[in-house]
Amino acid sequence: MPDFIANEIVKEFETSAGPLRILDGVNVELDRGENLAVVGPSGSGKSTFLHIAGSLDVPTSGSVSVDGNDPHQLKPNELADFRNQSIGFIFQQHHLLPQLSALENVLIPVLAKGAVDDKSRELAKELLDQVGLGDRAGHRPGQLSGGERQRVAVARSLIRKPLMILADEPTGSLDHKNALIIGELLLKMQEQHNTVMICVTHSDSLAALFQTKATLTDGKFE
Amino acid sequence: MTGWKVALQSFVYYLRSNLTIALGVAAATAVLTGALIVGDSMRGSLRDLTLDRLGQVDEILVSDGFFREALASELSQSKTFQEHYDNAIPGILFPNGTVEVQTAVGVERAANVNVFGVADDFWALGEGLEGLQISGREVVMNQSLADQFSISDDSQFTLRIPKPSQLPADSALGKTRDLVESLQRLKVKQVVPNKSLARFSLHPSQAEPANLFVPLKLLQDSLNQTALKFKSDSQQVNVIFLDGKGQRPPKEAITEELKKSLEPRFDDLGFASKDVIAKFTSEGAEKRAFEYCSISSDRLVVGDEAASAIQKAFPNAQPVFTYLANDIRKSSAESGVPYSMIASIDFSDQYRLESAESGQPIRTLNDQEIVLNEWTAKNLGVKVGDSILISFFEPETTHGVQVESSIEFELVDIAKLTKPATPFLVRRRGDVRPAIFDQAPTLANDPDLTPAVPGVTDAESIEKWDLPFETKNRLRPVDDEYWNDFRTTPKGFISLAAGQSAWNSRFGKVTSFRVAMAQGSQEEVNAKILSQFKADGTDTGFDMVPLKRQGLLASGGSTPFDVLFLSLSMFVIAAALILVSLLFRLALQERINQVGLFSATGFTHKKIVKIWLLEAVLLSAVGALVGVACGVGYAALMIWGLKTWWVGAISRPFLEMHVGWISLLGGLLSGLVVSVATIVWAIWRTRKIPTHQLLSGNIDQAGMLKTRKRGWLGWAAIGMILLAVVLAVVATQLGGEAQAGSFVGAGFLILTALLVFVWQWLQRSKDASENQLDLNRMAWLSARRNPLRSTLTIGLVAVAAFLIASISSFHLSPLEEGTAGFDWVAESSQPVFEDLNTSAGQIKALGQENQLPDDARVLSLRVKPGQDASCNNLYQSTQPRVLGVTKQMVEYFDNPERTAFAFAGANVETDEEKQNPWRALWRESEGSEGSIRVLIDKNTAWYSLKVFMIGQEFTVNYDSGETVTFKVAGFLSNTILQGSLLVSEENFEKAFPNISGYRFFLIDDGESDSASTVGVLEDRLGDNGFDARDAKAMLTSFLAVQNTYLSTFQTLGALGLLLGTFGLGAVQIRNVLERQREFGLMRAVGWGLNRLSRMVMLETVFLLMLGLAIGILSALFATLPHYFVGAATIPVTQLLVMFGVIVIVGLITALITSRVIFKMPLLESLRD
Repeated sequence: MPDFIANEIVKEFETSAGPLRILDGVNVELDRGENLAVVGPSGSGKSTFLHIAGSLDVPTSGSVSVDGNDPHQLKPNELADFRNQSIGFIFQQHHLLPQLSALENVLIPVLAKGAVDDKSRELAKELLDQVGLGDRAGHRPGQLSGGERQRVAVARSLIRKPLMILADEPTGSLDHKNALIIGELLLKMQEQHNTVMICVTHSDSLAALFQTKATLTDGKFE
Repeated sequence: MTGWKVALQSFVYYLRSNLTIALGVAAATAVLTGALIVGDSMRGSLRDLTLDRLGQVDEILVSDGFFREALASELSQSKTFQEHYDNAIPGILFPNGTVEVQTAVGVERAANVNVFGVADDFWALGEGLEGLQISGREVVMNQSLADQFSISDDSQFTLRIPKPSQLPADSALGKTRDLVESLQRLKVKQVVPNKSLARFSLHPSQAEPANLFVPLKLLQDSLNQTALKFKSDSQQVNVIFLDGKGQRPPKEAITEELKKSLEPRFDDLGFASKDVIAKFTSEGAEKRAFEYCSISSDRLVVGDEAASAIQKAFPNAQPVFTYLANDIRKSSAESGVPYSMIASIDFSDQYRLESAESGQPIRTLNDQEIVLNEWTAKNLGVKVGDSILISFFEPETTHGVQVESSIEFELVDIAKLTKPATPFLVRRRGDVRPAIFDQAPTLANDPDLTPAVPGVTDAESIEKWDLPFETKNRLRPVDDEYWNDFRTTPKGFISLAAGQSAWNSRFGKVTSFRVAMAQGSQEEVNAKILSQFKADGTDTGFDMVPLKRQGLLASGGSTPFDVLFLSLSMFVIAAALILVSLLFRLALQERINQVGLFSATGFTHKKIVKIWLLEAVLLSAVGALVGVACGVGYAALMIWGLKTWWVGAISRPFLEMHVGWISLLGGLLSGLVVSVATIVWAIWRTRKIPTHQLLSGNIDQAGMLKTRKRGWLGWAAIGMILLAVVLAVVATQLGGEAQAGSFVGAGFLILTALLVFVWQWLQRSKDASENQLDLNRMAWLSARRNPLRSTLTIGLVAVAAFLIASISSFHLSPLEEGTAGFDWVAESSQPVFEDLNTSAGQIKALGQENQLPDDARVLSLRVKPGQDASCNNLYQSTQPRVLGVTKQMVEYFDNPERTAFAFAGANVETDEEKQNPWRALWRESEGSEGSIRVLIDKNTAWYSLKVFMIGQEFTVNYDSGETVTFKVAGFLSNTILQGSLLVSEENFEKAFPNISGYRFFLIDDGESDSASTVGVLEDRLGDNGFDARDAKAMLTSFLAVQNTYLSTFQTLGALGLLLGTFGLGAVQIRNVLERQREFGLMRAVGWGLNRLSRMVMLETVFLLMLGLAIGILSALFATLPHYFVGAATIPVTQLLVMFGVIVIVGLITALITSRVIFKMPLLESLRD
């Protein structure tokens, strides 16, 4: 059984003109070590698909299976555990806490389960090393460039050694050069940590780096 | 890394934003702390006032009669005293003196003056007046008494005090005139400021008493010549001031112990024992015919309790009840023997008269039989078997009117009476030498069966009897002969039961006891009775009044001012918390994606709340600490307000700041808790927002202020308006607070409906086509960007404006029902007995030449003095004053055409009671045995006595010894009778049998010139200290307290609204910052800064004005009907000033808000 399965995902929103279908039976299956770039025009439902895959949103119908579990069937606390353990998110707006250092930002998922121990701290440092920011661990987001902030976000996504990394336009706010660097970094980390990765992007050059590229049009993969 | 560290770093990182929120927390904490400190200050000031007022006097020992001054030194020898007390200073106290001075413009008079007869050692009990000495006719008056006169250095005063009378004035022989002792040509040695003992008072009140201090000796000398001349000891006092050791007043058990160690003499209690020895000289030797010890009271009758104790001490003692008969005659005769004593005593082996006819002992009488003595039978020409008619005055009088009754008896025997050889002799110095017998006097020859009555039993002739009725015209020469030979020797004898049945009164039913000499010497008899009194706990008239303990207890206050000010400050607190909530939500909005991130990375919502909670605790702690400091300032401002603007609420500006640690801590913790709760609630509300929306970072999109269209709300709003109209119509049929409450309720419904409409309007407008686009339109569009937020902001301002404006409908104006149409309320220092509504009563009380107008009415009420329980007294009242309502007053209100006092509710059953609730006072109380039905002003009951329900019972223990259980029959509503308990005269007499006469008066001038009616009363009853106040002014002063609280609430409400306006400004500033990119774009396309700024200002003004308009409109709906039915006075100027200030502050806030745009850098705005 694949590690990640999205089965006939449908998502509709209520509007004054009636239900608006964003996703119309999307199917995806991925195992550890596999990655997928989702591309498509604006409003095609890329981010919605990613949110449903990462249990941030609920499908109107269809199901999601991560490591054999359907996260949408979990209770709120179990869902929080699931996200903490199984999924690493990377957003276009890196969502770093400006009041914390880079190292502390990486450790935020650890903090969700209690105080940060030395082991986690070492892991966070290691991850920062791996994303090339070993010497910037004490810097705050305000002292980092856009690319560097996104690297911190990449490190943060891996701190809980998740099964799956979900990236939503990870290079959307970066220049071409930095975008390429981050893209390569993402894939390198995915391979190194043997995770599933789904990346939503507008960037064809980024998508080209992925094993599989799927285009979402009218709520379905072409 | 821990949650604390994240919270701390977040707090520091967002310091500016957090400090803004902390300021809101500080405002809430300051108001909370301030209210608690106001409570502290009220209690502390009342406590200080108590301690200062009483000096070192902890307790007083008082008696309803006079006792020997030496009792003080005897008491100080007791073990309890030695251990727990330092001083016992004797004195005389009259709490109802009248002071007069003749000035160039006439007589100036001050009534209800506390008169203290003190020796020099009294001043050592206080501070600042030690060493003060007064002697001769010198007096010291305190400033508040002096302020009542326009005196000069050589002014001479007259003091009028009640003449201590042994006989109750309401008894048949009690006098109703000449009850005032006057001390003239008094000279003021010093006017002392109202501090320490100079403001000594028996009743806890923040009002300054009028006190006069007179040399003890002067009072004693004066009273010894008149009222106290029969006392064996010339140095008499009626109070002992007790000074306990240490700072704290002695505990209750010690007080009780000291009372037990009191060893008064028999005469200190007003009792007299006399060895009655009937002697005669036979064959040159003195022999005794009979002898016994007579126990009697200087009050003529022995009270039931004491009588029972005496009987217990001497079971064989014979009770005697001797009464004055106006006339004894043969039933068929036209005339008889006037003014004779009839003794009711049971004949037994101990006491059996000798028959003049048979020489045999006379048998025991039944209740229809009488025995006359020889002299009387001969004088009447009656024989055994004749019917004898005895006429007498009823034992109790009302309005001093004597009512004559008569009873027929059958003459069953004639008692032998021995004529003395030498009649009685009244010596020059006033004492009486007994008659001298040369033959054995019989048991019927006993003038001592009649107790001593000053002015009667010591009179030289019957003509000189000092009685409250005329005797002269009926007397004959033979009556004087009898008086000379036999004086008070009873002329007739009936059974004890027959006498007690006819003459029993609330004062007692025994005049003396005959105790056989064999029972012991006079001293032994006295000692045994005193011991029995002590064992039985008989009320001997002595009472320990723990003044300081009571005062300190009462300084807890009738109103918990901290709770009151918390309530009054409610809106300020609410506004501050709303401000905290708004500011925090704005700060949260800025960081909402952080909540999303935490959620996305596996934090449970609880954990997220916990992290924010820690940050909230940090910022709230900072705010609360600052708030506590500000709270002290806020309290100082409130206290200043209470001493100046709102002094009407506390009568006089006595408040001083008192800051208690508990209040500071309480304020800190309360501020912390409510603020943290507010913040946590705001963060908790994010739990239902999907994480991906939180991550989007836009709070509006995230749905925190998500608005959903609810069609039913519109219908609900229409329903509310209809309901409001119905409520307003119903309210016109209601009265009092129910009416005001209904109108305000209706207004609030209108307000809610209008806010719903505004909200729907803001939402609907989004879908409407908008063809015109100008600056106003832009401002309007901006305001409706977030319909819920804008509605909440408008609502905050509207509710505050509504509260401030509508509360004015509770402002009370004096209504006719508050005075029941009476023009004056008068009180007198000394009782007036006459019925001032009758011509006879007026002639007797006011003189022949001073009749009141025919249509004038004076309703007299009895008074049991007590504490003022009205809202003018801030001390907790535990012994409120009681007024006895006469049947005349009840009948007065039977007339439906008369204006009646307003009732807030009454337990009425019959149609008569429904028509006139005063009648309910006469219904038998169905509550606890002996409970008395009572009417009370609702405010007095609720706030001072803590009695909340009709039918509720409460018990009052008076220092004078009475314990009375009252059962509430009804509540009066805002009347001049505030502060007193009103009971029927019948029940009053039962509860307070020793109080005679009337001291409280309701006066209706009729159509006449009011000045003449009251002028005549005040002039003619001046000796009684008759003092009238304008009823409407009195009612206004009562209502002023409530109105002042309302003004306080309005002012604090305005402060809250002001805070709300600042909040509105803060929200708008954040709103502007939020829209930085939008403004950047507008500037990029050519908008000038001024134009943009104007748009933002318009938006703020729009919200403010809409809020004010809705609030005022709803308030008008609530207030105007109330105004038109005459129950409200609208303080228009005050409201205009308040709203004016708020509009100005609002405009300034709007201007500041709009200027924020000037500081926004264009390029960065566009980039971000």
